[in-house]
Amino acid sequence: MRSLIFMTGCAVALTWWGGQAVLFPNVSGDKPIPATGAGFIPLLLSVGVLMSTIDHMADFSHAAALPRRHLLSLHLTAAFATAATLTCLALLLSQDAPALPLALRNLLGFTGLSALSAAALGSRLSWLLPVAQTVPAFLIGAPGARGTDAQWWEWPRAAVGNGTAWTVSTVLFGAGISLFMLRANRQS
Amino acid sequence: MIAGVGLAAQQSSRLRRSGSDLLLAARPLPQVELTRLSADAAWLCLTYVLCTACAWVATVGAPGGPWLEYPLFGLSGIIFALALGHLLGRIAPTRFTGAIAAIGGFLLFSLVFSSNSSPLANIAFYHSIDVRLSPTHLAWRLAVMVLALAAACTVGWVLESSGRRKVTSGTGVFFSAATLIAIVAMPGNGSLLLENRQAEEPVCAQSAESSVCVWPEHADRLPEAVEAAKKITQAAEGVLFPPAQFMEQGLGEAGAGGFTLDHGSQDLLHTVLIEMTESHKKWCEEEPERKMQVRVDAGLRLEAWLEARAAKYTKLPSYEYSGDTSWQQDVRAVMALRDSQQVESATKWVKEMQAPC
Repeated sequence: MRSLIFMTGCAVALTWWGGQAVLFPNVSGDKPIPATGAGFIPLLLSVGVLMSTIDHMADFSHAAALPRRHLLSLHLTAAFATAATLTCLALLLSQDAPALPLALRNLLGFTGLSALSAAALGSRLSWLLPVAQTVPAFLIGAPGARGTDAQWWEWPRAAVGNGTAWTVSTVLFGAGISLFMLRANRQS
Repeated sequence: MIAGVGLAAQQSSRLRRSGSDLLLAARPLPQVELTRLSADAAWLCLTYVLCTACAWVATVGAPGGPWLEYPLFGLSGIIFALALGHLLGRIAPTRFTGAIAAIGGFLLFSLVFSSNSSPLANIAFYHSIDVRLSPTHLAWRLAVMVLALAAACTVGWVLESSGRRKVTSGTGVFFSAATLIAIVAMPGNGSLLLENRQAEEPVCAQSAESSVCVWPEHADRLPEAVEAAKKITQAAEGVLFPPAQFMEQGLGEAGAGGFTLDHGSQDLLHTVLIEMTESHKKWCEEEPERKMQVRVDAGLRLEAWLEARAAKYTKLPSYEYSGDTSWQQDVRAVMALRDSQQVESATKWVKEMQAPC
């Protein structure tokens, strides 16, 4: 429930920020490059997805007849679908529908990174890897004003048509969720 | 700093939400929290010091200013971020506090205090020799750090006693308000984080007819500069006479011009060469564009030829020039001539460069 409130809060922020470009400074000395809320807010939503998996009754879950991984996979699917739906609603409400593919791609990639972080450090620290990726991508990278010159590690700021960025996001999502489920399997 | 905010918020909020720690702690909880904060501060500061040491070791040979105030500035920023994160975690202990603090810290340090002139968000590893960290910015950073740390320490006790102890409550409110006021009142975009250094008594050595001067910290690298000046003077023999003094960057009048030792031997040679040609250039306030272009091209031809000759290159130095670069063909053609003919062409370029307005 708390995660749902958190994600709704993020969606409200996305409605407000939406497709508007904000100039992020570049610490490597290049010109500041604009970034939209559609590129950034999925970072928070993805953290909400993984945080929602925190199990306050872990000892009880280990002894439950139904393995936790079954419930966890359903839970993750529902949480990711909620985050994606909230993203779509927020961008449609703010009349920034063209930014939808970018937001969904970043939600996919950041959820993968959050899952990797949660698998390695626990769900409470699922924000660590996405933030560690965001800082260089937004403050050091030089993807060009429209994101056309983005390198593979700058995928959150790459243009929607950038195939490498989609590949990286999908691979991160696949790897992250797989590792997270694997860890849940070992624990249960 | 972003990691510091997030981790400190995560740690302090986790301790508050964990019932067992609350029950089993042998010491008062604020004391436990501050011990953990000190431990986090220690390893984050150690990481920062190691990174700084690596940056310094990697740039050995490259001069510039590894002054002690740089790590002091960076470390105070990390401690400020930890204090801020601790306060956030202590005031709002939820499972999302760590994430919100880290992402909020990222937005705060990159968007609100993004400028190079904000004393709050900057980290200084290494800069050129002719600049120093502004003492005003350093003082503000240290003041903000001390106040935030005091607020983090006292607010914990206030929340623990639920505000029953008036003296502690008053102190907590005072330090929190003072931190906010210090952040609002600190110098903003109007003042520079790095200030030009006051010229000190330089260390000089004689090279042919000129003296070569460097900052006292670069005294051990003076022979390199003398060697470069000698090469340029020899290459320009019969074409240009050398200036009375070759000064390192920041030592000249009003800190303008000067050669740099910062970027390797080719850059040193190039900047010494610019020192040589700059004093012979003529600039006119009002001049037809075509005439000005002839003057600029003559200067570029001369500099490229001199650099190639001083460094004994068989090709032109590879710099990226904007606009029409057909003048490079002339230089290549001249470089293929006999020595006396080369000097003759270079003298012609000097005359074009110095043509009356």
